[in-house]
Order: sequence, then structure tokens, then C-alpha cells
Amino acid sequence: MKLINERFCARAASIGLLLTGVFAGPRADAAWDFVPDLNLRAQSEDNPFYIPDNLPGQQNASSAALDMSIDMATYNQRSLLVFEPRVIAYRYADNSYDALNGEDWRVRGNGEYQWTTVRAGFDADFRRLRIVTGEFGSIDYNLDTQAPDTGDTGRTALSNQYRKFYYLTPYVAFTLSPRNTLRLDATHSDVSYTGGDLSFRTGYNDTRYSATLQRNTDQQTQISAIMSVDEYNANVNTNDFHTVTVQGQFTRPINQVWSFNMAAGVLRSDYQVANVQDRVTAGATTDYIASLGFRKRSERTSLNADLARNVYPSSNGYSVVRREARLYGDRDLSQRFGLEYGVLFQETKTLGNLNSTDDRNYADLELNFTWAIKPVLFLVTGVEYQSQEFTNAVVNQGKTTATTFDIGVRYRGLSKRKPPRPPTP
Amino acid sequence: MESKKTVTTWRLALWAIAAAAPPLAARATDLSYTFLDFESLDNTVEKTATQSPVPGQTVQIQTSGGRGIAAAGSYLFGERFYFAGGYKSSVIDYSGVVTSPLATDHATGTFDLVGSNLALGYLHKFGDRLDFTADIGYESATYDFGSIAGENFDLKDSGVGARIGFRWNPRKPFELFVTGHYSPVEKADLTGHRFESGTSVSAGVRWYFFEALGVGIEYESGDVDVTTISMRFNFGNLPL
Repeated sequence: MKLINERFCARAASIGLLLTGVFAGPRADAAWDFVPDLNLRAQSEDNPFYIPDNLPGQQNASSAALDMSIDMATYNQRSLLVFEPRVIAYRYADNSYDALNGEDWRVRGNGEYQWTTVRAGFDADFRRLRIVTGEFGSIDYNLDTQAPDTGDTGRTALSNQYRKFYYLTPYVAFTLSPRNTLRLDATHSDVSYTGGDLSFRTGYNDTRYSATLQRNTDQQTQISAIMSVDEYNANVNTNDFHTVTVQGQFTRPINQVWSFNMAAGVLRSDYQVANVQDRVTAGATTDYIASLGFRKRSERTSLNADLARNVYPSSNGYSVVRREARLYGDRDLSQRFGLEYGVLFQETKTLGNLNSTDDRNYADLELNFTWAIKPVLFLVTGVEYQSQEFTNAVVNQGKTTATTFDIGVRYRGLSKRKPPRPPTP
Repeated sequence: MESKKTVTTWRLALWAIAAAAPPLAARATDLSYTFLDFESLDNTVEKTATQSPVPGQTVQIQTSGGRGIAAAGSYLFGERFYFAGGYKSSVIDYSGVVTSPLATDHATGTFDLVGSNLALGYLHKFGDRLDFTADIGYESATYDFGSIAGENFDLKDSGVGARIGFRWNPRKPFELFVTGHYSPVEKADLTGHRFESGTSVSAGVRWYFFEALGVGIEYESGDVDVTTISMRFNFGNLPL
């Protein structure tokens, strides 16, 4: 009964989104900017269940995906409010892939209101994703507001389940002087699974409080000192980590199109973890975080390039150290022809090397092409290659690779808030 | 051994001064005293100690070295005074030998070396290129070992320490610095189970590739020799 209700709700909401998108787009008024986005595509995957290469069972699968979202924004000189509900419905041609049929739901939102010396706002991200999409880091082409790390594990067992991720960050910022701002953030993230927790894949909750002193040392340079306290609790093994981090951040433009950012910090984590014999160990570890990034913003090109080492909560039951290299971007090659590309490499280890069986290397490479038939209608095609390896796993050791091709049609309404780029000369 | 360390430190300081000597006439910039430092430490701790936890059984350990992290900060108030503080934590390797009438056993392990300080400082500018600094404050140190065979080499103490130093800014993006440090917890006597006071000397160079962001390398010679690579975030003069 519950399943029927969920499916009914999913279909009703899908139809609602579709109708809202089609009718609200052309009628957007000055108060709200509605930008519907509909993408219907056919997909071919060579390893939809992410079975390791050294095991039998990889088979090609064909599916159709309907991706619908609406970017809803209202803004004026003092405030901004943005919501983007999105649903992607997957249907596989063969009955043997019924476990992968389903819908990925996601709502992103952010907002801010500005008084004379105080700003208050929030950032939110709620997801209910199939295991095969929820357990992998994805490339986010929203380059200016990157999505939070979701603590994904790459563990795709019981792929008919869903992963629920809730992330909310309210914040308030006080202008201390024309050059100094004090910002206070409270971030809460929560993960759960519809089928319950497993020993290698668990729900968790994580709460972080941080205080940031931002200073504009000159007209171009911003420097920040951040102190944060983080409390992580895993559901399955009651592992907990209490982490204090101090870090500095630096941002500065290099020229008119390029900018540079850097961060470095140190942390101390007091933990209490249970081993495979359920023996609880308490201890502490120290570590560091660092990142180096470049941004390019021009009329035809956007690019984010980042190298980072950071600590995140994870669904593997521990806080993890994640080393990442990211290169995301898009480029208009002509007035009609554009491309998006993404390169993501991740190496994940538990903080303090407390459990090496979940050590994971992951790579995600994407290349998408867009051909504009009309200003709002596009032919789209793309390829994605994913690779992951659990280097010290007891089972499923070895490399897993998966390749996805897709081709489809996309409708995207015009936005007043983010107008399309000017035509290429 | 001690004289060798001193020579190394002085060589490093002379090398740093000589390297910066040609551009002495270059225009200088003010050094900031409101900053945050994030540091990576490479420690050398050469000590041996012996205990007899039970009659007829001795445990001898020998420490070697290890890496760590540190965070430090400073805040300038008024024209000439600053608050400073820092925290550092390292994991140091050691090997041990347990000797008893029945057998001799070898073991290896790590221990935590943790230090922190809070200080009030004074600065005096000699012209616009050279600053003299002095601070006095509270310092603590902890050696936290596990136990191989019932022994206890743990140490923890605190007291009042002091530093004097010079910061030289021969040309705009570079800083050279040398510091003398008196600490009540400088020398760890693991066998005697106590700290002794002592001094250490450190010298280093820092390059500000942006005015507010610098990278530095520093060598400290003392009871524990430490090579530090640091990233400095300068905040200028707060709260303006």
C-alpha cells in the first residue's frame, strides 16, 4: 500500500511538474522567474548494477529517462530565494532490470535577506535517490553553487532501495565594519536508507557549527578564518567523531577572467568506534585539510579546477579523508553548439586509518554535447565513464567500471535572472 | 652532538641573511601581527629512557621522529602589543626492548607529542624593515605513551616561557626571522619522569606570494628538532 502511495505521489508530482513547467514558463512575471527544464533521453549502460569486472554478470541495459525540473527564483535588491525541485524517472526495457526502475527526487534551495548590517540565509539540499545514483559522487554543472558532499560509499548492494539525504545550512552574517564580516553557520546533514542499514552502508547524522571571520584585505582579496565543531554519529555501529577544525581561506582574482582560491587548516578528532568484534575503542587523531582552486568565467566559457583534501562524514560509518581532483566546465563552441565536461577523481580513506576495508578510489568522466535547435530546444548527447576500486575490501575487491551513453531532447525555458550567453561572434 | 646542532642553526641563519643581503635597499612593507598559521611539522626526537616496572624486568625505549600538525595565531592590539597562541600535535615513533630473566622482547610504537602556548607580546620597529619582538606566556607540553610492559613514560607539565626574536623584511614579498625561546618544558627527561627548562633557537624564511598569503619554512633546534612548513593567512590590522 505504501509502495502504491509512493508511486502515485511520484507520478502525480511528475505530471504536476510537467504542467507547471509548460504553463508557468511563458507566464513568468516580475516577481518570480520560472525556468522549466525537461530532458527526455535514451540511455545505454554496460554495467547498470556496478558489478566488479572480475565477476560475471555485467550486461548491457537500455532505458529511458525523463528528467524534469523547475528553477524558481524571486529576487530584489535585498533578497533572493531560489528553489529547484527535480525528478528523474527511469524505466528499463528489460524486466531483469526492474530493481533499477524508479524515480530520483531532489529539491535544492537557497535564499538570503539583507538588512543594513546583517544578512541571513540558508542553503538546502534534499534528495531521495536510487542506490545506483545516490551512492556515487556526481558532477555538478551548477558551477557557482556546488552541491555538498553526500558521503557516498559506492556500495550498490540491494539496488532496489533508496538513499535519503537531507542537508540544511542556515546562516547569519554580521557586517562588523566595511571590510570585516562575522558569519555563523549551522549545518545539519542526515542520511538514511529505505531498507535499513548494512554493516558497510549506514545512515548517519552530522551537525557542524562554524564561525567565520571574513576580511577584505583590499578591493580584490578576501581572506577568512574559520573555526568549526563537527559531531558525527553513524547509525549501524554507533561510531561517533567529535572534530574541531581551524582553517584559513584566501580568494583573489588573477585577471579579468581567472580567479584563485586556496584553503588550509588543521583538525583534531576525538572518536569512539566499534571494530568488527564490536569492541569499542576511544581515541583521537589529528589531520589537515587543504585545497587549491582556479575559476574561469568568460562570456563563452566557465571552468572550475580544484585540488582538495578534506574531511567529510560518510555512510561507511566513519568520518573520511577525501582527496579530490575536479575539473568541471562548459563552453559555447558556436552559437548553436556547446559542450559540458567533467572530470572527478576521489581517493577516500577513513579518518585516522581506522578501517581500511572501505578505502576507495573513484573516477567519473563526463562529456556532453548540446545542439540548439531553437533557443529553448536542444538535441543532447553524452557519455559517462565511471570507475571505482575498493583496494582493501574483503569481498568485491577489484575494479568496477561502467559506461553510459545517452541521447535525447531537452527543453529549457529562458531565464530573466540568468539570461543566455550572447551569441558567439 | 649539541655543538653540531648549533652550527647547523647558525649556518641556516647566515645562509638566509646572505641570500637576502643584495636587495637591502629595496622598499619594505609592514609585517603583519594579525595572522593565522597552519603548519606541517617534521620532528626529530632522539632520546633513550629506561624503567623497571617490576623487579627484574626493564623496559628501554628509544625515540626517533615523526610528523605532526600545528595551528598558530596572533592578534595585534594597539600599536605595539599582540596576543599569540598555538597548538601542535605530532605522532612520534619509538622502539622498545623489554628485558626479563626469561626473555628479551622487541617492540615498536608511537606516542603523542602535544604542545600549546598563550602569550602576550611586544614589538618594537627599528626603521621600516626590522622588527624586534618579545613575548611572555603560558606553555604546556605532553608526552603521551602507551605501555609495552607496564612502564609509564608519560609526561605532562606547564609553566611560564618567553621568546625574543627579530623579523626582517628586506624586500616586499620576503621575511626572514630568528627567534630565541626559553621554555619551562623544553627538555623531557623520560627516565627521571620530569621536564627541565631550556632554550631553543629557530630561524626561517617566509615568502608572501600575495600580500595576505605566505608560505614559510622554519628550522628549530632544541631538545626536539623541528622542521616546519607553514601557510600564513594575514589579516592586516583588525577590526578596521
